[in-house]
Amino acid sequence: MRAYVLPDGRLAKLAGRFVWLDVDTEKPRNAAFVERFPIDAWPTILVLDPEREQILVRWAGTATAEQIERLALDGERALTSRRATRADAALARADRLLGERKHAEAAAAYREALAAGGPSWPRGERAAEALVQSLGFAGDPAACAEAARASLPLVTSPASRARVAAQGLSCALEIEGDAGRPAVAGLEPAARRALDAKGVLADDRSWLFDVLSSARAEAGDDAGAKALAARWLAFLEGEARRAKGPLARSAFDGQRLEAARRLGHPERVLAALTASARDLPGEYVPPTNLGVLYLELGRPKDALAQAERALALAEGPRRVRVLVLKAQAEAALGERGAARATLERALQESDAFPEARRPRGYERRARKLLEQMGESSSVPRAAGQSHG
Amino acid sequence: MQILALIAAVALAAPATQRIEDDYARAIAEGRQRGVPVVVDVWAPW
Repeated sequence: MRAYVLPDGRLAKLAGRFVWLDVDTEKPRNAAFVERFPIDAWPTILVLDPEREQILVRWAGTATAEQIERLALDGERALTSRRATRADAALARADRLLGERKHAEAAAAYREALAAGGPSWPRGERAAEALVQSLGFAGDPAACAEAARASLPLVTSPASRARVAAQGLSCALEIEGDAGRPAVAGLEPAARRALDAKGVLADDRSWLFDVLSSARAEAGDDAGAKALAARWLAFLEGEARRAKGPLARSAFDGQRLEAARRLGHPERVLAALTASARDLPGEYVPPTNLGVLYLELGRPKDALAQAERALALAEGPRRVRVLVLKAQAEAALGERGAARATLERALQESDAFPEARRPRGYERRARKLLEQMGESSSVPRAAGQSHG
Repeated sequence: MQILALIAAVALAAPATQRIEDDYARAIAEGRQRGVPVVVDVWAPW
């Protein structure tokens, strides 16, 4: 059999899908193998699971090349099925942990699922995406960026690739100090490719523009950052033109404002933001966006008017964001006492919310502005948009 | 115990696949690394 069957071309075709081992049971060095896998007949063909070192298929006696091919493929199927069972169990555990917002534990379980499932596991793509997301939520930007880099080869759908690249790059940008630079550089090419791929959702494409332009700015490439901001703004303007109705169109306002700010031309979005504020009189977001823009344009009085209008409409934790805007407008008008009082009110309102609902980002910003006000005579202009 | 294959005694002349000889640990490590099963031809020279 060894002379005629094993060299058969039929088996040569399978070469890369298996490891092929010959064990001569007479040799002393194979004693441990024989003890572990006792043999009843010679030859015997075994197909082994390399992770668990267990027999998947056993065949005693000679076999034709066609039979060996079938045995090997049956073993491969059994291994895939075993792995899928282990991977599915780990995935279910990971999903449960993520549901409980135990992000670090969820990430560990997603890793376990991916390791068990191997490259052919059909749920690998979702698990890889969830792993990167969990690490981002877990506040471990270095691990998140590294997982994104390692996962990208496993992720084939353009929509998922875009999200993994964007999340990874976003995490890489959060890494403090020089350690973040290689992570950013490692993910930028994939993010750029995802940007131009078909099948990427508009929100994700916008996210990619956002992080890519930040990455260029971080690298000191002002021209590159602005070029991306210009493309981002043009993309958002196109999406807004296609939107059905003012509410759908206004969904792009915040990102349009950010893109225009990075481009150095915030006035580009004045007409659009004014239209949203006019067309959606019951919504608090359009006047908030418009107020931020007015501050950018050096029109604090108009900014204050919009902040007050938004404050009358905003409910819940969102009010903290509006109060911060109001304080910035007051400070820009030289009303330092009023600005301090507004910031203190923002913090009081935030404190009153349960832990899970507190707007941490805006709370931090309010504290920072208060600190800065203690040192100088006016509140510095802060970034307009935040995912706080 | 049955001894079924005298022909198994003939050494493999021109292997079509890259085969590992008498090194279980190496084969398992490679299987793990590549994520593929290990096909073992267990034989003895008779």
